[in-house]
Amino acid sequence: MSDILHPARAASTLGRVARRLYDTDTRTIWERDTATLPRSLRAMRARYRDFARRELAPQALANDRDPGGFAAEALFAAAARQGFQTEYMPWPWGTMRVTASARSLVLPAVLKAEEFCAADAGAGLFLLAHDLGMAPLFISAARGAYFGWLSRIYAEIRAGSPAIGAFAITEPGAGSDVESTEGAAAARLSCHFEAVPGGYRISGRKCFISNGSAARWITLFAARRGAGVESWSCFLLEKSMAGLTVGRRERKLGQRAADASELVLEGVFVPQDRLVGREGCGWAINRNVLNYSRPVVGAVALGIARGAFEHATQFCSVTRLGNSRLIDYQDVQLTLSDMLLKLSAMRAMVWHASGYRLPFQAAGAMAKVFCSDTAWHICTTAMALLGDHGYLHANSVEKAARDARLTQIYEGTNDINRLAIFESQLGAEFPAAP
Amino acid sequence: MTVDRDLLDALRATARRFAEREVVPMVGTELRDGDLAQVPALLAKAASIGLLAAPGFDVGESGIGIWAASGGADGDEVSAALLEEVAVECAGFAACLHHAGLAQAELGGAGEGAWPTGAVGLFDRGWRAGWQAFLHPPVGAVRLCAGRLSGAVGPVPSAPGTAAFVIYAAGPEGWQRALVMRDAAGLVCADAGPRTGLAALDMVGLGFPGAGVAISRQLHPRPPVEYVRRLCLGLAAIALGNARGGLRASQRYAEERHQGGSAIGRYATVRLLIGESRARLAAASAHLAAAAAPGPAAAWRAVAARLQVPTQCLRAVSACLQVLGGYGYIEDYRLEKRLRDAMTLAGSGIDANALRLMCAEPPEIG
Repeated sequence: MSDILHPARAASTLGRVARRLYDTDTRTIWERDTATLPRSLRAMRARYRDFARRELAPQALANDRDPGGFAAEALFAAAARQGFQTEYMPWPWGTMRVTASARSLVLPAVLKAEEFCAADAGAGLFLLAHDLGMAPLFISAARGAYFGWLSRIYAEIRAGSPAIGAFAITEPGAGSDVESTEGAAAARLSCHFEAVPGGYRISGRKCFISNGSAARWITLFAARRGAGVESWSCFLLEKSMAGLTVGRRERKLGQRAADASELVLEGVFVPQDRLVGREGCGWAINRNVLNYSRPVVGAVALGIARGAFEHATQFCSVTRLGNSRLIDYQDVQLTLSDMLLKLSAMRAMVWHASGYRLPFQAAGAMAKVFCSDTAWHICTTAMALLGDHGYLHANSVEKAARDARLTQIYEGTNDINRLAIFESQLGAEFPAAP
Repeated sequence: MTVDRDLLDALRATARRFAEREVVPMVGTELRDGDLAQVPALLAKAASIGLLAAPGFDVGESGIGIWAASGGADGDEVSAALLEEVAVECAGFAACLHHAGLAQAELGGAGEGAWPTGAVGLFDRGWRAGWQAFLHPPVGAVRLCAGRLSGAVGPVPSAPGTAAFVIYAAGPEGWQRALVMRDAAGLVCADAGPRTGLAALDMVGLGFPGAGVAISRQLHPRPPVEYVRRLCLGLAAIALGNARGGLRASQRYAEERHQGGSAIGRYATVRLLIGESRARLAAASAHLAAAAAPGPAAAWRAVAARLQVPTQCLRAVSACLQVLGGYGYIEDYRLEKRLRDAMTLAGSGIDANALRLMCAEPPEIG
């Protein structure tokens, strides 16, 4: 083939102005996408990636095989030293970049989620679930919760303490139900509070709580005894509280480094000042936390799929068949390109959803559903591309597929999220007949 | 002509009873993939009742053992049906039966070789040559020269306790077949390490380094057409059985789990998922039946079934898991094991693009 047919060489035949209109740069998609971000976020994206490659990727397979050996507190401390675990408050309390967050409250978290989960979704979930646990303190905009408790927790973290957070809504009889309006109205809630002198007493069980074992601080939702979800209130619990114990740690299909545990509450006394916001505003806090967290789950899925793509590409570039590398075969190139274009579509969706000044229900749910479904498709495609090598743990794509499957379930199953899209958007445009 | 329906139903019932009585207790332990130490004994039991043709066991006149050489023209349908029924309870154990049966078929059925004689090793990723690979061993195939094998192949699936391997190798005049003992001097038999599913199987990489490894016996040379046909049909059948088991579990959950005063199976979200799974499995079942039926282009039909059936089954199992929400993702309800097995089956044997390239060629070639 003539050298001049290559795009970069072909440009040399053009005039000077025409050459400036013809982008033949060899930068990667990652570099090009980063360049489109506001200046304050470009450096953050690079820092997230460098940290993930240095701290998360090397232990990814080992943590998946043996979650019990995951050095959670050491990783948390390393991330905290980088300022990654205190991003809901600006200096002097935390590390929020005000200029970046003024543009979008979600985009920094989305960038972090993609980079962390491209390296290891298990460890990534562990770090991100802390932010989820702290989110009610931020979103409630309650002075006591924000300047009282969140600043105190962040001070502990900055001092080197593993003040890990968790977010607890799911109950044994109420999973995705409490993540949609219709389901929540009929949900059988088992975690209840009652007012007592000086505070509240909470009893019940929570399940599938990410960081349930590792966390020191838990934002937990409970209904007033005898009332429904409309009475839901949010409380900040400390693991050391009497009556609060960790039950079983679930054995999961993927994202295994992060624990998903049961919390058992037996008459836990919670002082009055641990109520986040007002009594009865838990449902609103929960719904808005989901608005903020669902684009992040989309980014988690994006990161996982990107990791699978990178591992598959690496495998095909070093594996030879005859005198050629696998990556030199056209059918392999077609498959890898298809994966890359889907990744670009996912990123566009997530960044678009995060570009709104405030995240809202339909945008978050659409990003979550689209990206998690597409990630599962990309990861299983990567496995199929590698054939018998695809299901071997050492090649990492099967881990990515197992990790990706969870993103279709947590933060509300995708089915519930589809209903949320309707409720938020189509339901508003086409209200129910009287 | 296809096998008599009554006979096939009776054989399915036999396999189902065996799976329910013998395999279910093995799977139903606290361990992630069941008590795999029981697999060798279960294989022996399977052989003793005729599910698996093997030396030292009387399989009777019917020759119904999985991939038994005496299976005749209807052997594919019978073997696929037996594997499907066992896989309803455990895909990993069905895969052990499958690969042990494949090796026995290579040896000409019961009566030859020591049992358990395990896996059949082919080349690694050579299938981009399409059906030409059946005529001329492609680059990457193990070589057989002067009674010694050289090269490497893997990962090779095999039943636990495998004593020997049948190796397809490139010789001076095309395909050769050789039997090599697991303990042959110089043979490197390395565990392939952890993997997604089908944990009951052993998975090894075989290396024949240096001057090569002496074979135990040279078998009658033939291209791997029959082997690939059986391999593909069996994998598709196991995938279908595994998915049937997943559908059964999700339907049961949908009936038992109540929410908002109703079983969740009454809600549209769950009905959509179950309906989608059932439709996929109906299509997969029809595809497998067509592929296993006697007739021309049998290898082409088997390859097409291997490409489509496990993929449809993976999607069906994934939808079944979704019915259980978070409970599907943890080990308790075994849907996560079903999904891991389905993921493994979708990538087993021959990679997806190679299958597509083979299907692109005219059916009569296969």
